[in-house]
Amino acid sequence: MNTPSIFVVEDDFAVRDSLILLLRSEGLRARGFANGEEFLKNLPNDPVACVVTDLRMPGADGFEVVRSLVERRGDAWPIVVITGHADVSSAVELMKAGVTDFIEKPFEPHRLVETLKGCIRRTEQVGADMERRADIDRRLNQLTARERQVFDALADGLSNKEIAARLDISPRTVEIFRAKVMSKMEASNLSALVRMSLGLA
Amino acid sequence: MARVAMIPAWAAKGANGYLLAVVSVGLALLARLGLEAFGKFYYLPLIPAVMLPALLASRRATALAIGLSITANVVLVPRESAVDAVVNALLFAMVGAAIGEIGRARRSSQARSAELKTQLSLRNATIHAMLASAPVVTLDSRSRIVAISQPASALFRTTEREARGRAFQDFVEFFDAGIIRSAPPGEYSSDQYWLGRRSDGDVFPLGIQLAFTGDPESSEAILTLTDLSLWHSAELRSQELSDQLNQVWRMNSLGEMAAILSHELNQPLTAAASYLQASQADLGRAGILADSASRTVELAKSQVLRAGAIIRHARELLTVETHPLEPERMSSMIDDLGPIIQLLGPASDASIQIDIDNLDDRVMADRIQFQQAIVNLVRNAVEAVAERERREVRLIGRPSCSDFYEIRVEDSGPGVPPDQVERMFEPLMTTKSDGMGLGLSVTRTIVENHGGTLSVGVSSMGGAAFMFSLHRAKGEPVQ
Repeated sequence: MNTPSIFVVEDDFAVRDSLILLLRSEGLRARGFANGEEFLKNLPNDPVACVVTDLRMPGADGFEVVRSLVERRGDAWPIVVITGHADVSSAVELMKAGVTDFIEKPFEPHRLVETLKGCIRRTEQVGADMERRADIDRRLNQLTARERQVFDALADGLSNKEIAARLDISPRTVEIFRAKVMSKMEASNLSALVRMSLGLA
Repeated sequence: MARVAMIPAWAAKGANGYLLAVVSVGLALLARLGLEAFGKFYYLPLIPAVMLPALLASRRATALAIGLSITANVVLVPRESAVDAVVNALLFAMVGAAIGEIGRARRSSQARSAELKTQLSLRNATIHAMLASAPVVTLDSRSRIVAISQPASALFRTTEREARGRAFQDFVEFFDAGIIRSAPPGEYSSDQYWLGRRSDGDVFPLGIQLAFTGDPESSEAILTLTDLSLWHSAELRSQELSDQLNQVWRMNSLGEMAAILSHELNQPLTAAASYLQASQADLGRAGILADSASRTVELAKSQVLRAGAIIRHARELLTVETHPLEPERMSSMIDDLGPIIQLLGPASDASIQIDIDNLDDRVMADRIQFQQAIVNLVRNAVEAVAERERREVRLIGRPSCSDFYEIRVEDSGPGVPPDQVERMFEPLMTTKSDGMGLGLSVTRTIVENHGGTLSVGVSSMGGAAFMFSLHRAKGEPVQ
């Protein structure tokens, strides 16, 4: 998997261009968008990414970008806001909305780079989690309806006997289904299976 | 005497006059009879008989007396010739008629003079009454007080007796009779007033008007005085608010300018710092040979960041302090602005209507900042209607729901073209030849500090309508 992209949303051409140049010189992948509207309309499908956005832009401003991204991408797309003027109330509002950092222009470029590198490390963690979850999902989809029922019951912590009672089948049949579930889910033991079920929640 | 005085009144009544004529002619004939012993008298003794009705009764009664006298003479006195009789009779008739007219003239002039006398005394009484209630002072040619009315002396907290004979300059600082005399009669203008000095040392604004001057050369002058302290204090309050608004405007526009400049400058500075950092990264890859260049770039970058710090500092200094919003009555805030708003109108010959719903009109506001925003919007509206056929501006305030009170400034100007709506709030964007285009930008900042949004639409008069809402104050009004 590639390193996550950094999307720079900034209406001022020079600022956008210089930031992309800066990030690329640091070996990061960067792509620019001229304003919030263009960015939200053509939102890339990357599962994880970092976003650097200006606050004051014509059309959809930084607040709108932040709101929309938090709703649509959540933790997978950490956001750093850069602004010409940082007043306390917008800073508080943005941090509450889930923005990772809030940097006042002009800033020490090194600081932005470090912040973004931190974001990328976090997204890698998030990305790994997401991949694992996708893997579990894939395995779960291979289960038959009956096997899924047994899986759910096991995740609920029921014994073979109790499962037999709940599903109205013989304990011997439960044994067979249980073995099939374990092999399809690639779980070496019961605790690994339960962990998988927790990762889904 | 009383009885004698009653005779003219009695004689003046129609029939009594004739009776008087008959009686006086009879008495005259008797008197002539008595005088027969001393000589011949023809018409002479009858002259008083004509005089009496002439003085006291009507013209007809006089004519009757003349007629009776002639008849009596013709009948009673034998004459040698008819010519003698006729000439004598005619002569008497003419003398009698002359006496009659003289008597009448005397009577009517007497009546007129009596009437004039009553009129004059009525006028005197009126003038006295007026002088007693108005502050009036009469000065001689050297501006000494000849007479001063009670209200005028009360104005200076002195008495008529003390003031009389003193120089008027003692009561009015730098008084100059020449200015008063040359001033055209009319209303006081706001900057034309004198400083009155009360006997206790208090100084107050005083209006002086020349009411009357005897002859133009410089005799006495009568002046009416007006205490302008109340009018003046209202004027002063409005002047004070106006000064305050000017001050706020200066701070607001400076702050706005600083915000704009810092925003505009921070962009290139950010770009420069980033470019420098990027080039530093490139130099880093070039190895040890580029070390010196990299250090220079580092120095350049730190200077760029220093410029940013200077701008930030300047901006902090110029940032308008925002006060917490307090409960205020909308009508009271607008009422205070009344004189200032009305002064804006004449510049464009626009009529400004103010229509504020003053029931339950408590809102959360920073009073002076809000007033600044209103003045800005009204000024814009007035400028928009200049050179239009219809020049109307309306300032309307209505509670829009339980939480908000809406303010609208509407005009009959050309309105805002839709493609300009987005641009018009941008700072330094102006369609006017004078001004920096900060007005709307400042106004928007104020409205946003009140938690609102300034929006623009079409007014009922076809022009522009600027509107925003304030939060209504909750809780019980403080009385």
